Amino acid sequence: MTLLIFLTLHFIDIEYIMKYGLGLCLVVKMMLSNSFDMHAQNLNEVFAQQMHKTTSVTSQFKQTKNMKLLKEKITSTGIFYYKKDNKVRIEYQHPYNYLVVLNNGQMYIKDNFGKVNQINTKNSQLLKAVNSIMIDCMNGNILNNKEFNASTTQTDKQYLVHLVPVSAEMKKMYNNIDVVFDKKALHVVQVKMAEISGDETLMEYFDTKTNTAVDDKLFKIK
Amino acid sequence: MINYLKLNKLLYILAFLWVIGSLMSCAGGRLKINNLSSFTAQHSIQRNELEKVIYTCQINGGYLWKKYSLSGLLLIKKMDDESSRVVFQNEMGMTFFDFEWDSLHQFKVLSIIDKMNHEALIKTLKKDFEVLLRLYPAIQLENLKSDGSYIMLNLPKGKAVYTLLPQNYLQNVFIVDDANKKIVSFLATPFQNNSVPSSMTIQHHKANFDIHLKQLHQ
Repeated sequence: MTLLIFLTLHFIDIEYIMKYGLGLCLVVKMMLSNSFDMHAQNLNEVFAQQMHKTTSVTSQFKQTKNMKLLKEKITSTGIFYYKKDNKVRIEYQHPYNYLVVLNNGQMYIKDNFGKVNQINTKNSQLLKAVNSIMIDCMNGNILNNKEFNASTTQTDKQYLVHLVPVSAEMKKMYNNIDVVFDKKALHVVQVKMAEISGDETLMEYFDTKTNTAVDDKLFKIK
Repeated sequence: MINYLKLNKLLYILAFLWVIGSLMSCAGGRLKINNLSSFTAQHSIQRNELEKVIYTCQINGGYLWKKYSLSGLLLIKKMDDESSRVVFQNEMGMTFFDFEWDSLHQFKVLSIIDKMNHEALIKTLKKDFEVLLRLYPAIQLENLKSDGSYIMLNLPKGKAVYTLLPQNYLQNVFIVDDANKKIVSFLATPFQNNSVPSSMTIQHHKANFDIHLKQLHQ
């Protein structure tokens, strides 16, 4: 039984990292893609051009987990940072502290208890796959991601990208993911992830700044 | 050749000592309790009455040289229909598991990720939460024993022993076997009998993994 529990939790850890990595990719993609062309054939080009221009992103975020059956909402807030190339920092600050830093294939996680986990994403096939998706996020190829089918709509003020999972792995987790862009500022303002269970996680981004000075120390893997 | 054999033998001895040391460090020891007398009304165990508790949660474990760590939020909620739910999700909102005990304390797994969906793990977690929240059928609560320092009740396998403090407070809780050897230790801050602790470490001495809980105030 000890062995079974170990094995179970050991593989959960890898699974967790993998799924978490995919989630991070989405966030990175959303934060970086501050321009959006509604014509699918031009999208990659516009995205790649925008990547070339963007050297850094800083944004406040608010995350609300809406647990429908439980009639419960859990809210947390923090700061998101990106710096070219391949550096991401997601810092939850309230009501718990949780830090994730991605820097050139290394993942650093510090939880609310102060426990640090550092993972080389190159040491496993799964993490290699995650790492390649992360790189795709950076070089603008993420919109070619075969994990999702994308469709788009727009209003006067916003663009909406509706993503439906294609792969069996993602289908087990999500019904769909909606990304909302502000038309004028061309920033991501909202991401809504609808889980299979009926629960939803809403990420709202505000005070977004691009191409400002962001200290390299924020991405230091200790 | 002789040197090689000696080295080999030394390595075996070191490995053996390491395994023994590891096993000893995992052992929870024996709980020293007297022969408990029959339950008296002044020493009872009450179910958790709080409508909702959210903990930040960390699970650590390891096997030989490999270690793992998971973290997230643990939500404990009492529903309008008197059922209880325990939900564990990561900090970014992905649900690991969702457990339910109905109004008659019948347990049900509402959802669990594939990699956690193993009977041994689910049984261990179910037992932990039942002891923590006192989700016992009435028949079990009728068979309590106490000496004023501890209060004990029989589980389907083993016993749960709660440390009694003055003014109807509880503190550390243990699951022990028939020889009073600790299987699980819940090392908690003092908490009211009808409530849950603000922080706690749950040590599984045989399974060699532990759970840390710290109450979250939104």
